[in-house]
Amino acid sequence: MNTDNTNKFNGRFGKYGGQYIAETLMPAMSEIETAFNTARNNREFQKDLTFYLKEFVGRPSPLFYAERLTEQLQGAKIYLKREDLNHTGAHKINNTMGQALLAQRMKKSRLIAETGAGQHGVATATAAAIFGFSCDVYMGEEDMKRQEENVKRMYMLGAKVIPVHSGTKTLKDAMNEAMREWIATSDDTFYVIGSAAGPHPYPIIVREFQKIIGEETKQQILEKENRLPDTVIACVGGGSNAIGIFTPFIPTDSVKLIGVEAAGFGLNTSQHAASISGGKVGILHGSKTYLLQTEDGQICNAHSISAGLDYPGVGPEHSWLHDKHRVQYVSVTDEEAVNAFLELTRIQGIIPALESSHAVAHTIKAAPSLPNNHIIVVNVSGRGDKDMQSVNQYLSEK
Amino acid sequence: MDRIKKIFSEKAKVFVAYITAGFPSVDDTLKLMNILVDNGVDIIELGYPFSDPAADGPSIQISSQIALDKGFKRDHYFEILRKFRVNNDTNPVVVFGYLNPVYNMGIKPFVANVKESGGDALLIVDLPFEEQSEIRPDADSCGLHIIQLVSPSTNSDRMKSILESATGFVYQISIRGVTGERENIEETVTKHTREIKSQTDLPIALGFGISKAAQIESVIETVDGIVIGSSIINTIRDNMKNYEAPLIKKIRELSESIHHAN
Repeated sequence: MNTDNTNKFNGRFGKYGGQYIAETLMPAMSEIETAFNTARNNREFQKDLTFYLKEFVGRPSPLFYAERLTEQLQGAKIYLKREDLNHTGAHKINNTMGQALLAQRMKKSRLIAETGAGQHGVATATAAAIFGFSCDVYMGEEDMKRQEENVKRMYMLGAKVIPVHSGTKTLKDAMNEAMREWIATSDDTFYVIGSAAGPHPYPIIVREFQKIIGEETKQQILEKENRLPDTVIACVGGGSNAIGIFTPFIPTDSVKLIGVEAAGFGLNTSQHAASISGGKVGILHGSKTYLLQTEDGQICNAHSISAGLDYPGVGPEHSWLHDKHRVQYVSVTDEEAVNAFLELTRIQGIIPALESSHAVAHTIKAAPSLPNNHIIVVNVSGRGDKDMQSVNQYLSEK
Repeated sequence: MDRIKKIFSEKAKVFVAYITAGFPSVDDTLKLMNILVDNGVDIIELGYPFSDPAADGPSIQISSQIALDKGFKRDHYFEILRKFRVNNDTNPVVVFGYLNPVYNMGIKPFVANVKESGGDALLIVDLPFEEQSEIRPDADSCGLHIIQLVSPSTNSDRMKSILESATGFVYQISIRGVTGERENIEETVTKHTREIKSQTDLPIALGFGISKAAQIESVIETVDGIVIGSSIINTIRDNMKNYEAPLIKKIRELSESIHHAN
């Protein structure tokens, strides 16, 4: 498939993406774009980033053959990309280390970030701690209650967590508030966006810092199987872990790519977070993309048991990959995700994040009907220790 | 002659007032528009409530939320505009909002409805100059202005392009930040106004953060108009049960500062 358009990039993936932001932020965007384009081709920058990813984050993460899960499902051969083993417990740190190093080159003194589940907030606070930035993390009041431990972690790391009381008091409102803060402070502050969303150039920046997941996967599967996988599966909220693992495989049409959205209580209810499967194209947080919205153009509340997928939009590149039929987007309910969470934990000894459990759930559905020589790679984007409370509560209410 | 051109040519200084459609209720909005123009407001910026107003401060956020919670729908917006035009053909109305509700309806029908209902211009906060190509042909063909914003952070290259395509008036943002009342006004504002003036013949209205007579006094000489928003919303919110008298008092004071400068 032709992906050349990203080389002479104009801020668009087909009709998606763009820079739908306040005038006051436009100069900050071109400043970041220039700095990023210089940095990505700079040896010193790449050397620094590689060093920290290896020595601090713990990369490469293993590609693990899930033998017992494969035997149980009696179909495709399943490999797990273990992003859960990264420092701070998820893929989010790949991106925050990259953006923090970029902020350092741009001589910014402060990082701000939005967070839903708290994983991106923790990863930003961690990068801020090691590089000596001051750090403010915007977090919806509701999410602060749901993810109390992560709030404590951020404080211990030296960041300040700013409760967001506006709107639905969740991730999208945290992003609004971080944007508002940034409009006033972009001179000395770098906004670390955690998802492959937001105005150009953020979707590119996040993809470039996350594509190491796919690059390692490609090399590891060639070492183990001497060929590319048949299918790669990842969960999609905003879509950063998915774009990270998909990117190196996009030009190879023989590799099937599947993005798994959160269907919450079901796509036929209003309680889900599947922007592509159940949304309509619109404009939010700086880019044109699929969104959950009312028939009147107001943004809806998303719902997912996984706070990290609980977002009414999706990264613009995913919208484009959907329209081009390069990635198939499917969805998995809260119930299916919790069952997959329990199953992987019990038979493989790996507790996946509830986000990643959506990818595992789709794998469990798809694998049995596939032949033994079919190779699936699932991105286990994070670990599930943070989700004990959510899972226990879900099980007790059932 | 279009209404915007006319009002700037007739008045030495122009008072632009922002209110949110549907706040405190759909019925109140029409009444409020008439209170505004009867007491000295020249141009109304009629906010289109949006669930995610990422460039607005707390006052406009809350007024938008209240409007949506009370069931504001798209049709109400055009209905308010149409009713206002029944008895008023003089005061321009600028449609102020975010792109998603416009895009959701379809740009062409939205623009056509604004025009047909009596709107004069569009000011879409999250549609910077570079992204306006998809709305410009429709706006141009029916004679609606797209109001351009210039911020203290806008560099000279972009300012040149922005001003070249500007019509109606230029909206100068006084501060780096979101909408909302501020104590002071930055000293560099007037210098910035002069810089804009040197590159355009269009009138300049200054907004963001302005609510006090002293602030108006410090900038009024150089600008052609002043935009007041959050402090009007706050006056209504502070007197929710009976806002009419305090609002009239507030508007008249502001009008006095704007129109009778010197």
